[in-house]
Amino acid sequence: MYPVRIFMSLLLIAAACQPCSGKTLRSVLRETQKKVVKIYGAGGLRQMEAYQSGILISAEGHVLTVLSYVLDTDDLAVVLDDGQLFEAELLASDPVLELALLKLPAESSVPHFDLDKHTKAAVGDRVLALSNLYGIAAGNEPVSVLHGVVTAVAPLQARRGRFQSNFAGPVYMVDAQANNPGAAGGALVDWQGQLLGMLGKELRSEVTGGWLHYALPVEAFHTTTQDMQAGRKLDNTRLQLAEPESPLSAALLGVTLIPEVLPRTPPYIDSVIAGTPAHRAGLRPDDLIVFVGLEPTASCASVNKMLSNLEATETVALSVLRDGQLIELELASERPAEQLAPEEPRSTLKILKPEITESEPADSSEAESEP
Amino acid sequence: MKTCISITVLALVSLWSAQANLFADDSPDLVQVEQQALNRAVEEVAGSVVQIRTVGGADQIGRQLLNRGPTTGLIVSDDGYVVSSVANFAGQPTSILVRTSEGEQFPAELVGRDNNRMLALLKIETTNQLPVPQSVPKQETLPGQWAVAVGRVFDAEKVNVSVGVISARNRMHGRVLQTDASVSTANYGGPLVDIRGRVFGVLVPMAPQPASADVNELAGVEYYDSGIGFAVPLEDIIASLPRWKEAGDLHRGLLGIGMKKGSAFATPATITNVWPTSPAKDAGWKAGDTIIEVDGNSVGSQTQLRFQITPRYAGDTLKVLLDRAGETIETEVTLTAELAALEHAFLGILPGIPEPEPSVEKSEDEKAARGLAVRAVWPGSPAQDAGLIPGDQITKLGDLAIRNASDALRQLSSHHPGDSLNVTYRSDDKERTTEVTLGKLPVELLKSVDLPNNATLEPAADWEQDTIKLAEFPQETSYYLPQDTRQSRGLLVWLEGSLERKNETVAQKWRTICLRDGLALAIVRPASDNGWNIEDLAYVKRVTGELRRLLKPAPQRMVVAGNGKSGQMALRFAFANKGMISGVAAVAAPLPRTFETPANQDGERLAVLAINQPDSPFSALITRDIKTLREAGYPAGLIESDADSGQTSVMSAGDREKLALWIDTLNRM
Repeated sequence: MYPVRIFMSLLLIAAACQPCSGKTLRSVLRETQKKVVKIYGAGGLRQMEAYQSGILISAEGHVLTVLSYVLDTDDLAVVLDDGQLFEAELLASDPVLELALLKLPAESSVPHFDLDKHTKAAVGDRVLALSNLYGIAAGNEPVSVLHGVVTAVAPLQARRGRFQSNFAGPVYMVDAQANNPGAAGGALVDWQGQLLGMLGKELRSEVTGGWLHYALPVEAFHTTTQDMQAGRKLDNTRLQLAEPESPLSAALLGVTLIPEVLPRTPPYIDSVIAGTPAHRAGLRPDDLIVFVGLEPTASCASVNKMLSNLEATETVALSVLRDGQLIELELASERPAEQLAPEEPRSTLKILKPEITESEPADSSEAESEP
Repeated sequence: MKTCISITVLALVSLWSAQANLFADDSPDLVQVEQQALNRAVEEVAGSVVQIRTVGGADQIGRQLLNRGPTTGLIVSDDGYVVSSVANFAGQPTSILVRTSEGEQFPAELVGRDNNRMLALLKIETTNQLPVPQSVPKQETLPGQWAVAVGRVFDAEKVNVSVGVISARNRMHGRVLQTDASVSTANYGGPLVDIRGRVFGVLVPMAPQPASADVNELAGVEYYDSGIGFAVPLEDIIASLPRWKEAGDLHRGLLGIGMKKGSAFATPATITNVWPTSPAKDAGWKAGDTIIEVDGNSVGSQTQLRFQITPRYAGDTLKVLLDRAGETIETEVTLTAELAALEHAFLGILPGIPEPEPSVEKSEDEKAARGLAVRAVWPGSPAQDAGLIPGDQITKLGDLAIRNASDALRQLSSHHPGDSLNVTYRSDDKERTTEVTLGKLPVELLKSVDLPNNATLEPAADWEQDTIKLAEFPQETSYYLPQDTRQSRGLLVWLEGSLERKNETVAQKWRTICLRDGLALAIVRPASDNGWNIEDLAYVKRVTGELRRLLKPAPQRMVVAGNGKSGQMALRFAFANKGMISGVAAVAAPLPRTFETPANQDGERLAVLAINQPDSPFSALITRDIKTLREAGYPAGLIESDADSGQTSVMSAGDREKLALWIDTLNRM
């Protein structure tokens, strides 16, 4: 389902530049629009628009934009606010942050943002999003401006699948309909025209399920842009999280969860094995695990995933619901890592099964076989 | 209506002025002052905004993937009551956790839902005094005022905000405020606050009420972030809180009346029918009454009535003034949550085939004296209990003299199952009157042994074939009309989606039955070779109307039928045009997936016949559908096919006979 995305607050500001006296919103807008460009490249198929936006970041014509299929062409056209058309060269790209640096063969100095002079915004601050969303502006028409506030400064948690993002750090989420087709690469600025971030590609939120309207903050791409501009090699492993050497599991803690019969089977404890960290901490069958550390759980699968992100030697805090009470427990592993069997933790569980002490009588299979 | 327009206009004007203020070349001071005020408003309410997490429950409802992240709630009492949106609990979670702004976690109990305003009430056990927000009095709420939507979704420590204005009041028939702030899963259940941090209302998704009584907890989520968001006024929530705590669930209130067709904005609230078991019936309302005032508010149209009724709950008592033939009647009515499905009254007879009109004109009296001939009596029916037998003539029902079947039907339509009715009939030239208690329309097929055949009538010798072509549609419809039938003619509109089966093949299969029963046959096909499409509904409707005009079939024996996909199309068409036809038969076709059973209506007697193939994959679905339809009051029959499911596209000879028998007996009453 494609959501209804009415851009009610879309404002097309008249092209005429007025003498800029004092920092009125109008003058700020006009100055800022000149630093945002329209990019035309590959695409044009269904839901794959052949255009996007970009921001000028140097007087010599460096353009920062998002790395996408649009740039995948030899005929990359960039049109400035005043209608000047350039054939752009793809100078460098950052596959991790999905950014690209273009260079225009500009003969004279062009208006641009100075990345060294960027600013920050807080939740509730009023902001402007400038981009060529829906490709409305063409030729010497200035890009579209949307106004809104910063809704949240929160990690980018995009839904998996077709729309995926490598970056998971904090972004500016805004309540303007900023991230629509063609908007990626546009600018998010405050009411003084100072750059806050760059509008990202279209993503759906893992948190709300809805389309996200967000901008990557300048801090996130400042260094990498400088590296690209200077022609330095980028470190492509910088966002990868270190995976645990021997991951923790429910079996290692000494619990089995109830069988996963549904996609969101609530993580109830089925049984606790005697002499394990779970047993010592006082976990019981029928406890519902609601937090692993500070992370809330939703299902058996999410508990297993969270545990596997931890080292087997780590002490883990669990919160469980028992008879309507929230109980906090700490599970400390006493065994050093080398004594564990990290290869096949499931087999460990099978061997230990006869020792189950506090489990409910497991006679359900017998009951089923009765006529 | 006037109020409605003026509110909209005011909303637009105010919006414009708000925007104009924002973008005028005004001093940076004002911008800063506004920014500070908005920030303070958020700080003011943030302590009452809680984060809600759920564990377990469904992943999706229908095709709608549910949000799995945290959601928002608003504290409404210092002893632990929290209000949120029902959409946040649509997955029926196993457990609910509430995290306060202080970072404390509590397991929460879902006390109940408000199915009228789409809210959920939670309770957490705490000894702390929780911060309760201040509400904006409804009279002070005006379109154009700043409105800040607050949620606690992305970050447990910090609220997320969206800034807009109040767009309108009294939306959704007086239940919610409208705002242009971005409203979505990011803040459903959270507050909409004014520039002083007082709460206008609680944010919810909402869509106009569907025709059926089913509540869709996710209705309206598709409008998220669209510039159209809704909030239930906090004042209304606080007012209903004591009752809500006690009742658990709150429901919208129903009256149990049908109203005159026409534009709801312009048509007076004139009652056309009163449900047999309903608040309206208890209050003594009658068909023909017009509602002119509810609780002191004058009501001039059906829309104005909805503005009075929709905000109220089941259990509420209203003072209603009726106009009954110029006389004003004062009544009191207590709304109910559920209405029993409407079922049609059944006497238990099958009217005889009218004798051919003699050439000599008879006087009205003589016609009346003839009455309505009984062709068959349903076993176990009120008519049989009363002693009626085939061949009797019914002359009076209640006080109404009966000249023909339509007289009898009209009289029966004004009664309901369980009502008593005097039946006067002539048997062996003796006139008798007996009181019967009316039953409901049967779902079982009459056995052919109970049906004296129309063998007295010669089958037609042949039929004529012709086609209808409607200019605006590409396809043609062939129809076959038995020659010189003296019988009251039926019409079978057969939907055929298969390209392989030509009209001639289909017609040949039905020929004997059609000639014998005087049944006209029309074969309707989809516009595209790819099969049926929802757009074809318009064609089926037009061509059925055209056939009715041309062939003048007996209104009680107009049937649409089809196999498989065509059967589903027949069902879709029939329920969308219940007044147009009298029966729908579907072979191996469950109800379409997106289908919502419409309420049964007085004056429409749509019968349903499902022909089920026991080993078909749809068998269980069809059985369930028929149960649903019966619960909704429809006379829905289910017969087992004698064909293999392998032949889904061909109806067996036996099935055709059963269908013909069903059509033949559809004028039962």
